[in-house]
Amino acid sequence: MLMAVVALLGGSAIKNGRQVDFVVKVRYAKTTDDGRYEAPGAKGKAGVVTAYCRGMQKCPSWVN
Amino acid sequence: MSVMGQLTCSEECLARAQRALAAALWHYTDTPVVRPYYVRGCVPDQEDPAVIVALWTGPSAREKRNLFLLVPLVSGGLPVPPWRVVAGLMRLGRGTHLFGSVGRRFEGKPVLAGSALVEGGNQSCLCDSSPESEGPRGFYFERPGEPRRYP
Repeated sequence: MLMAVVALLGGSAIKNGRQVDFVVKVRYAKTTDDGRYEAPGAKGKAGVVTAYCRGMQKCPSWVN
Repeated sequence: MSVMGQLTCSEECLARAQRALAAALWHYTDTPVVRPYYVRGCVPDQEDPAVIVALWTGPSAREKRNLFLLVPLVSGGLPVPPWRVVAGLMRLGRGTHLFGSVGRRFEGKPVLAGSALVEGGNQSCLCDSSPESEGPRGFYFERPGEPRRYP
């Protein structure tokens, strides 16, 4: 049975008094969902990191 | 006893440091500490020698924002005086700052790591830099005009 771990993190970025709240979502497992790839080693993980800014379709360019 | 790094703080000493910081930040509840932020709260932390500084843009701001920063009172094994916390907050008005979550929530909002604001310095004792002060160890405006105090 494939089991993926999802971690939801977050924070805020501030520049010149302007605040942007962001979310970082990490989803990882020992193997990919399609079973094609397996991370090497006993503790290996494979996954995806997604980050986005709350309340907007595109993060400002200064949010790295 | 509260322990962070190599510095051991007595509860009384920690309370004095928190009172001194609360007194310093109270001034910025009706004056911006850094535009557009006012201080909404200075909440003594229950787990570490630290406070949660709550910033907000105020109830009448067009773009309402809140920010909850966990600010340690000990940094690099040395105490953080109130003026350094205020100076650190004022630096938010210059440059770009990134704060990550510490994994906790306050009033349902994520608490962010504010230690970068107060890193550095060469104070020798948590209490030496703060005169004995009266007043609460902290405060928080749950709603405008209704401060909760932490004795």
